Amino acid sequence: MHMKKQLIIMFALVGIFTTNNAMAWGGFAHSAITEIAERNLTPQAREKIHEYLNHSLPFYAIWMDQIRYTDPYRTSGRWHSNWMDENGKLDISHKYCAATHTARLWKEMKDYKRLSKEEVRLNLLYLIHLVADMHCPCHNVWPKKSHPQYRYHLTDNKGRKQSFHKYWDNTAFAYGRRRWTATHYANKMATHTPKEIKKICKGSPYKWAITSLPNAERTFELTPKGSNIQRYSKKDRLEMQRICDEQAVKAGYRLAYVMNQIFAK
Amino acid sequence: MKKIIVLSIAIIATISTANGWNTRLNEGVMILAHKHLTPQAAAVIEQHLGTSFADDMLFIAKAQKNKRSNFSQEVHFLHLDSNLAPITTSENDAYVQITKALDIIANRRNHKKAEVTMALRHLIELMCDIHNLGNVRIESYPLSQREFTMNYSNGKKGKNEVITKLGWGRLWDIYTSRHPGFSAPFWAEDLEVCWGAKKSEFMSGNLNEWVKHIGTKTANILNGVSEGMPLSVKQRNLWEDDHYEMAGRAAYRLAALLNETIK
Repeated sequence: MHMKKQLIIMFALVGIFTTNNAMAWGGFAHSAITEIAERNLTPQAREKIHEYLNHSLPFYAIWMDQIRYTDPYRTSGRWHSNWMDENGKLDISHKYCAATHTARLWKEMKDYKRLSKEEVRLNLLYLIHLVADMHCPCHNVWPKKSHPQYRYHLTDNKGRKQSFHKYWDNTAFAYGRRRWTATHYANKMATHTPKEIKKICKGSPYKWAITSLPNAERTFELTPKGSNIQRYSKKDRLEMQRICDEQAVKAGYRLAYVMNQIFAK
Repeated sequence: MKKIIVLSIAIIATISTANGWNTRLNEGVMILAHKHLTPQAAAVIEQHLGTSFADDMLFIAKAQKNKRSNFSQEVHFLHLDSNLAPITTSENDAYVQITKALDIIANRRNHKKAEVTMALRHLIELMCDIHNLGNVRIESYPLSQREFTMNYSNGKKGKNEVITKLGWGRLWDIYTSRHPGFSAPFWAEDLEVCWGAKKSEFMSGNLNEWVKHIGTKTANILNGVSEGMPLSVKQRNLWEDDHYEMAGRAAYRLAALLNETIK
């Protein structure tokens, strides 16, 4: 019986991973965000970026994920989330805070001509990923001691633990979008007027992270502790997706804004 | 339990996807190639394949999946001797079928429309296949004659490190999975952004020279590879550059071949 159970688990895992599921915030959403950004680059910025990066922005969408466990980039592997303090406020002094690193890199790049080509390239690669990650509704870390209500697992029909983070990274964004491409996503979602985009891009990475917090906190209401991921209502799933879309589209516009500002004439 | 997970991943890693690159990258290569066709070549393509290529991609692979092909899986491979020259003794070889397809296309007036259409489909698919570095079999490199595995580390340290067995062919096939959501037109656009400046270089030469180049590139990589060797994330990332360089070359070379053949 034990062997049979193990075999079932093994084949289930094989089945899961051989299914072509391209829809993941870690993958697909990053592609979509960078596609939106690419479309909103000024010609000047696009030309300048190409002096440092061979491919277009979406190609590098998950570069930071690919290198996070390699030297000399290991430290950057901890930068992917915003960190909160005991009072639930954004902790901009936290050494791993995504918003803080985004702000730092942006500031460094304002004087990019003084940097070496490799430094500029690296900073661009970081920014491409970090601006997206800092907008992800589940990429916020509250201290476990002071905010235990923000650290938990979800479940499924069989009572097995399911990762809250993975649910919001993958499933919430992908609901009903099995065959979507990043291009299709950008066509459908990034339809704001220049005036609206300007308003979205106001502020700083800190402000963007702070104004994203209500959506982050809403994720805990929509998917409470121990809730069954296979039993959410359609209405709730659409609301989850709305949150993801709001964050992803803002991330795309803001990434373009950062790039355009860096390489402004 | 950990053993089960590792075994599962090993099974997954060694499942060979005969398709090679995914359909969207293949189509992206065709879209880019199409952009650089002469008007005459473009007219012939439109006559046989229309303006959308999605249905024509991976034709042989689809037929094989539906058990409607007379080809074996080896048709997707480029078979080279120790001098990196094509071995042409078998019909189940990409180079052999490419040259047959080119012959039909060059003499298309003497063939039925359906034959020319099929020749174009074969050409597109197999030009992509031979540029997939996992699809090159070199006589003097025994490892290239079969699927072998390397021990791929996830890069984490200590007890969090997970080693999985990653097959040589699968390594090259799954690079596109790092870019989920890319549409075929986007692949075309990205390949051109990356390699457009080298268009003339990539389009120069002929099929035999390109085959030699592919063989040389594969041999150089295989020289540093052994069965069961540790494969780092860093190395895998480095090879990704080679992978997309070959995709770019495939697009421009396909255009050059079609322009040369359709006159």
